[in-house]
Order: sequence, then structure tokens, then C-alpha cells
Amino acid sequence: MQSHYIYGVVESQRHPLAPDIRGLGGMPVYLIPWRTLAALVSDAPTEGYPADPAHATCHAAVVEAAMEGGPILPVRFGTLLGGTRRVISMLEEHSTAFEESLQRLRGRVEMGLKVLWEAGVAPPVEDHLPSDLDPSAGPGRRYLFQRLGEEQTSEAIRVRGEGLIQSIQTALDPLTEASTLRRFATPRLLLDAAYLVSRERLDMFCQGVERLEERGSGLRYLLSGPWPPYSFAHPLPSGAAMTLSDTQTPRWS
Amino acid sequence: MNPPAFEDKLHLAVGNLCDFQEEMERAGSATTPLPARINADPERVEQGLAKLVLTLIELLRQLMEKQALRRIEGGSLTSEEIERMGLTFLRLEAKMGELRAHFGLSEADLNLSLGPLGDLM
Repeated sequence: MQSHYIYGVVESQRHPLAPDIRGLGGMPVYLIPWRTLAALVSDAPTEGYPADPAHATCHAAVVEAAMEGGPILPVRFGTLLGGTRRVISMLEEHSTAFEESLQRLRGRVEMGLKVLWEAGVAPPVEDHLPSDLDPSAGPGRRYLFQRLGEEQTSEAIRVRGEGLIQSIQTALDPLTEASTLRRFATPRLLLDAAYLVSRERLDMFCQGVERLEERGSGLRYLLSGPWPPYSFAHPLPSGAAMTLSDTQTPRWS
Repeated sequence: MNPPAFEDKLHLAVGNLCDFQEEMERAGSATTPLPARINADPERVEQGLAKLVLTLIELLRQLMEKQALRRIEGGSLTSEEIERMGLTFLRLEAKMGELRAHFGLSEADLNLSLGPLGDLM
């Protein structure tokens, strides 16, 4: 059976893709429309494509090219749908959610911001014992007071981090439409955030991050984008599609 | 067709990019939840079970220790009580170390994703 590799869900009335855009396996990329919606697909073998950098880059390139001609709900790499009827029934089944999401993402892009700080990896203080601890205190008391000191130190670091995240949010919130934040993902990664930014305010947003950087509070920023709004598009509902496993064995869920 | 120029996507990068990459990799591996299934390989089933049991004991130990710290902060314990509890926790921690070593497990092996509460360790 013929399979369709899907890049994303778009509006059926949109600017056409540049003719030189090729999909995975060099196949042409085209739309399967259903009313106002369309699936952006290319024909694919039923076993799909291996997850390697070349294929992933190709997937990203198609999604990015499509983003220039209208809003897109990007689908993550490696999603296969069956025949044309299957694609259409998927669009039909989730049409309300897709239409709402496309409306919400129109004219907006995703920006990624990662913030590193060194306070989280400060060398541990060896001795947390309170200075007024009775010098005759036994090993049990020394142990618990040591633990208490460690806990208070890490709590103080966390509170400081929350304050820094709060000041970043206060500065960027007025420039964005939505955000997803992951705090303290590792001791050093203070913040891993994605922001939904309207294209008109993109420059302002970038300047906002630059101003934060100039404050020089010892934080290191990595700002990237514009990306397709992967973090703000509802993923394909489970059961709607098949995702290739690492073993490349197709399994329909 | 030209591949997208990913360098153009970078607006601001302070310091070494590798540092960011390293942390992202660490963040990806940090939140591995309990395995979806226990490895029932007869050679390894003992270690798998030990890991599960020790993880639960470690969770309880940390909860009790936190409780003890709260009571110390609250000032409701005498020096003798603190000493006695401290000794218990000290010995429990040492015992856990021995058991981990016996089953060939590291401290990080007993980590547990507590969902929205973060990781155990």
C-alpha cells in the first residue's frame, strides 16, 4: 500500500511551495486538501526512512519552506500515514482542533532561548555546620546539621534562580504571545524556553533578549529561531498516525 | 535546493556553543522515568529487582530525613533526640552504600522521576 510521509498540516488556500522543494527520498511535496485544511505530504515507501541527520534535515527544510507561505502545524520527523483516504479522514476527524491551531499560529514563529548559569554548579561547600554548634556534638548531630546546611544552600540557589527566571519573563512576556518554560532541567541549565512571537515583533523580541544579556548578571544566553512552532502546535493525536520506531518496523497503532 | 542555513538561526550565543549542547544532552537523559518494563533476563533479574527495591528504600529514607530536618528547624527536638536520629540516618546511608555496591548499582541508578516534583536525586 502507498504511504504518505507527512510534514505538517496547513491551510488548503495558501501560497504554493517553491517548485524546487523536494521531500524525503527526493519525492515531490504536495497537498492533500480537505475543505480549508490540507496535509503537506510526499509519497513514501511503507517502511519509511531511517532517522539520520540527512533525512531529519530534509524534513526540517520542507517544514521551514512551507512556513514561508502560511501557517503550519509541523509534525515531528518520522510520521507516516496510509493512503489518501486515511489522510483525509485524519484531517476530517481533527478539523476543529487543526483550524483553531492554524488560526492561533498565523503570522507567528517560535524562538528558542536557553540560559546557562554557573551558580547551580558552584563547588559544594564542604562544611555547613553552624558556627554555634556544640563542639562536643556527636556524629549523629553533625550529620543532620550538615544535611540541613546543604539543603538550605540549595534552597537559596533555587530561590535565586526563580528570581532570575522571573525577571527574564517580566522582560519578555509583553513581547510574546505564549511561552513554554522548563526550569532547572540540569543544575546548569537555568531555563530552556520556547516563545511564540509574532513576526512583526520579532526584532523587538531579539532586542529584548540582547538587553537582558547586557545586564550581565552572569547568565549566558542562546537565542535561536525563527523556528516552525513545534512547541505550540498540538501534536497529531495518538492513533492518527504511525511513528517509525528505531527498528524501522512499521507498526500501526 | 539548499539546506536551510542553520547558522542564520543563531541570534545571540554567549560563550561556547558546546556548553549549551552538553547541557541539553544532560537534560534529555536526566528525566528517564522508571523503565517501562523490568528486564526479566534471568542473569539480570536480581539486579533489576534490587534496583527497584533500593530505589523505594532510598525514596523513604530521603522523605524521613527531610521530615527530621523540618523538626530540627522547628526546634521541637532535644540534642539527644537529634543525635539518635542522626546516627540512624548515618548508618542507614552507609548500609545503602553497601547494598548498592553489592548489586553493582551506582547512586544515579536509584534515581526516580517524581513527575511534576522533579527527580528524586
